[in-house]
Amino acid sequence: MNSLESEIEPETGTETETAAEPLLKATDLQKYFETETGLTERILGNQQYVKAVDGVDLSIDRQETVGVVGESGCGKTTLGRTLSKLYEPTGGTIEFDGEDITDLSSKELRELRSRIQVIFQDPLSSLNPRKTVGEILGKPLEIHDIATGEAKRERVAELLEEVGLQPSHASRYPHEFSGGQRQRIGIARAISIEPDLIIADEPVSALDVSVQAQIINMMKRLQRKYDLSYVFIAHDLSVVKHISDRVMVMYLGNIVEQGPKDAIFNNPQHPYTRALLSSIPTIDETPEKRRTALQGTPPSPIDPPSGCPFSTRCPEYIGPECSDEHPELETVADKPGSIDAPEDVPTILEEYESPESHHAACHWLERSGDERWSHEAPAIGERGE
Amino acid sequence: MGILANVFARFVDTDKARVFGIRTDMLERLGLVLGRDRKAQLGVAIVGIVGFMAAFAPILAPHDPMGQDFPVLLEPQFVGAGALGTDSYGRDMLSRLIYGARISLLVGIGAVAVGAIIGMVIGLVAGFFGGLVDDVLMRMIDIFWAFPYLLVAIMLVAIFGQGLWNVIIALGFAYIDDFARIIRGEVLALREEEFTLAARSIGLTSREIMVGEIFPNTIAPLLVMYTVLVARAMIAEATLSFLGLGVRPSTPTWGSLLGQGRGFVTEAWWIGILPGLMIVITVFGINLFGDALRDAFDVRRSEGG
Repeated sequence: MNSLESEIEPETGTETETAAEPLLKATDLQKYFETETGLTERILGNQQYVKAVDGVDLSIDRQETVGVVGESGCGKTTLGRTLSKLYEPTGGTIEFDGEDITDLSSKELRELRSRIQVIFQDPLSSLNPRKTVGEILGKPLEIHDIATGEAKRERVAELLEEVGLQPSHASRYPHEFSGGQRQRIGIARAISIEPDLIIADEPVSALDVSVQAQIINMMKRLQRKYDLSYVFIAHDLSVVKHISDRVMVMYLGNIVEQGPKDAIFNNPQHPYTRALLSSIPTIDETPEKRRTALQGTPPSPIDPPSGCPFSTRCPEYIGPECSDEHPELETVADKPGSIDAPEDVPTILEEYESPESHHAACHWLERSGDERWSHEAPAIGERGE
Repeated sequence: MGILANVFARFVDTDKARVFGIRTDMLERLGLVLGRDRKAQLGVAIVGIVGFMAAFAPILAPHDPMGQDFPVLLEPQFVGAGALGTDSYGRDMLSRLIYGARISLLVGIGAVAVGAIIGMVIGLVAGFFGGLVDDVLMRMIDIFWAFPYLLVAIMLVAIFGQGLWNVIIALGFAYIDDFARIIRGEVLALREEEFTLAARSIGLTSREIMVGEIFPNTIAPLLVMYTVLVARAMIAEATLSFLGLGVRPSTPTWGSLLGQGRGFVTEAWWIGILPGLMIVITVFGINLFGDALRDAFDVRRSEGG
């Protein structure tokens, strides 16, 4: 964690140096949800918490796209909503453009809303069925005093054209559109107030593949035009690979590996990242290649494992240290574990050298690669605790 | 006041795609249901006729409903135009039935309006804010619910006295819980929809989201509930009037006519039977109409995606 902070924090954040500063920075961000508990339990103090986001550090630079991947329930949606302040963080701090936005008055929050926008996963559910597209797109313009009356109508028409729809669509209702068109409306709403950062929560997961590509390419175009930064949340690795500059891999509320896209896809270090990458279906499947199929389901975020969050399912489990000690994110470069892998380990490119900005949280980083590749992990039932 | 103005603005929306807050395509769907469903057509016809009777009672009624004519007490056929006989004071039954529609509908619609407005606000606030607010409000509604509605109404009339407006308010209180529950349920579901989060993300406040985003989505179930309860309120009014706890006995309402007819069933059956029939037919018609509304408006049934 220390190495990560020293990298993203130039510390002397004066006004003139803002370009070097990340646009958004979160430190030890936590979001816990109370579980549904009866009144007596509450009085007895037996309240349990779902640790959806459990201590995440991240930074996003200007005009950068950061992909967040992980399986369902790993907390990536919660992370996005906490970063956009739709959820109040339980712990940790969020800084946006050098200012602490962890606690804001409702007026300050409204200001912030014009700079961070969200694109939602379900394009139908994210549009109010009782509002016309014109009303949906016009509302943010009104709230943030950008345009009213005739100017508002013109701006709405522009926005619709910007996302590839007709200005005449303004008088229609969301249910009259296809899924792809609805997501275009969602995107138009997000860019309507020209934010700096857009948090896109699985924006293409609900769409079919041909439409996905159109939407992704449009998002890329809009990014250049409006100087946007994206946090792109997805579980589809190929989509993330296409759009991201950097990738973060989440598991059970933790970031287990992060780095430039190339580092993650060419030299994945965390066993979970490897399992995710090897799960991408390929056409030219060579049967000798070792596929890492994960067993079991993720543990409950109410009671996560005490050590490494992945220790209960890890195919490369070492021993008690995995169950007892929570590994921190550390720079991969120059660690003994990052050296070449044997040929049958899929997804690893042999000659790739990870840059300083590639981090992983795994006990294997401290050990030699040779030991790693010959290691046989104990069966899931025979692990410590 | 701000909330009221906002709600009002929604009802007089000049946007052509909406009439009284209801999407035109929903009205089209209502038209579709009416076009193919015989029961719905019957319901609309009955409601239309009763509504017409109530609206134009002074024109339609051949006689003054209060005018007594002692030579023709309990006559099966009134000498004049009245085809349905007279009551024990010689008042024209047809005229009294026509005027009775007025009172019965007014009480039905008015009482439910009282319940709808109070219940809607409670349901919206409870569902939207949840937690302790929800617990407190809904437990209050539970307590309310534990009393039979007629008992509540009788108690309130006993406290505030007889009279048209007192009956409307007394009956209205009995419907608060129905509306509070159904609106709360809708709001609980709507609150989880992503458009609520989207509204927050563009900077709307909780109040703006509650009134401007969530409330319009509850109008359809609200309307369906409303129609069903109007029928119930009319029966309740008839019950109160029958028991002598309704509006003043001389005011013609179907319930009081029925009550007065009770004493003369053997000599003059029409006095009791005719208003009874009117109640049955009208309630039947309103229920059919309510079913048609539900078929047309129920989003879950007809709006898949």
